[in-house]
Amino acid sequence: MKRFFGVFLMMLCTIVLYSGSAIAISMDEFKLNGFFDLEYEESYQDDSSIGDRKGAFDQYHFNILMEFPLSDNVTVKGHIEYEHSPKIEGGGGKGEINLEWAYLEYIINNDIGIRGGSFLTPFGIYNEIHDATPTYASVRTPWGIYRADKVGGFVMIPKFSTGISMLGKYYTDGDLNLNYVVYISNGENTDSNEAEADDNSNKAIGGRLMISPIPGLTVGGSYFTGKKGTTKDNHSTWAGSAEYTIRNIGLRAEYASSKLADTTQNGSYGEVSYRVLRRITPYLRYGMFDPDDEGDKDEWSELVYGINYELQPNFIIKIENRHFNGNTNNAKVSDDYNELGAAVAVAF
Amino acid sequence: MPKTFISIVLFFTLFITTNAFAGVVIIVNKNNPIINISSSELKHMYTGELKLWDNGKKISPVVLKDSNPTAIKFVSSILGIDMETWRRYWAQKLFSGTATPPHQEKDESSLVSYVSSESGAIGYVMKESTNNSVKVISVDGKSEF
Repeated sequence: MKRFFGVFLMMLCTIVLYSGSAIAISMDEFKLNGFFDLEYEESYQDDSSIGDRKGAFDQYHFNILMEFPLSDNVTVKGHIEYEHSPKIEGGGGKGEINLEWAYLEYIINNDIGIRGGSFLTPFGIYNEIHDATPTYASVRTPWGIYRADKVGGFVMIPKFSTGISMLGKYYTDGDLNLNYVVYISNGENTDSNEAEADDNSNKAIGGRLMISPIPGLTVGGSYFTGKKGTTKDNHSTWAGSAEYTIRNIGLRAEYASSKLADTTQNGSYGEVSYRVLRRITPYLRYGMFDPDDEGDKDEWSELVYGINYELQPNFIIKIENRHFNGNTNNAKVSDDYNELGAAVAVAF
Repeated sequence: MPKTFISIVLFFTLFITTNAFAGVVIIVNKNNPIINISSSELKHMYTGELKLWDNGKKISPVVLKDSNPTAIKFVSSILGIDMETWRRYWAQKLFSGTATPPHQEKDESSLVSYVSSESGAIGYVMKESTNNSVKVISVDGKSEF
């Protein structure tokens, strides 16, 4: 595997060096995009101490995307995230600065492309857009799959991966479309920075296949496997998803199962949304999570309902109520409570 | 209901439907050798799935502002979706790192100028907005739709 990895990297470098000898990039081709959001959340269940009872504003994201095309088929892409308005001066761990992705993309032809660098792990519907709140109806992603660590489990997949990925597609003149991505990466570390080192000699591998057999319908499957950090615990996750959009109705469902060492956890959710008056979208989501399929009374569930209003193009207001229900043995949420969530989100 | 009446209604329905999208043409750079593409190819160019011309040049689709009537017609007739869905589709593509949204121009004359200066560009305008600086290509053999 190591030899394969090395050869692959060398090939990528050769291709890129051969493709052009750009010393400086024309700023005409440089592209800058991003998104911003401000959230407010407050829990309000009288008989529960879980959640933020005081209520708080959260300047959640200010993200900048950059794109530097070197030639017609070679591009360097970067994405910097400022989460919770980080304060560098004085430190104290306030906020986060993340390099969400930084990779070199080489488009071999219309069917195949290669990326090398750091990227958001291609997994399910939400992982690659988990921070990009303007792209989805609700204020938060479904936590039963995408933030399992917040509801009594372990992370299903690493949000970020560093390595090489191959992206491909197939489409017909008819309605059938197929997209896939496979990757090899350092995987999950416990000690070192995944983008710089690997805590073990094992490389993680994964992939995702999405098929659209008819307009509006996409079904997909994702898989990830690797050894975690210095403990080298086996970690494997798979997920299945389906999305269907017909006229103003959107339906979305996912199921994921993850095994780390001897513990197996499962998460799922279903979402329905209905757009009225072009820009107003009420939505409803029910999600479930079982942190250990052999554990007793440790399940968690959520019922989220709210409204998404596109005030003007790319300027979105959201307000939702979340009802969380944690069973008594759940390590993080052992009670049920309600939470109000609201956000303004802007894409630019 | 008399057959004549039904025939007249059908005739006018057909006339209105055909005319609703008439006059929109697809333009490319004059140096682009292409003369015809399929509607499927056009759709995939504007959804970011098709990235390179046959000669290896990068495809640079260009669009008009979302509020432009020609843009609304194009998105609904070619892609079969409304502008809000189109916007959300591209936001997901952009912020997942999958593809970069098409270049946007403020009006049809600036779109024509852009296509005339970009070798890999492809755009849509009303027929009367074209000039000799760009080439009109057909889609599925039709020069306007």
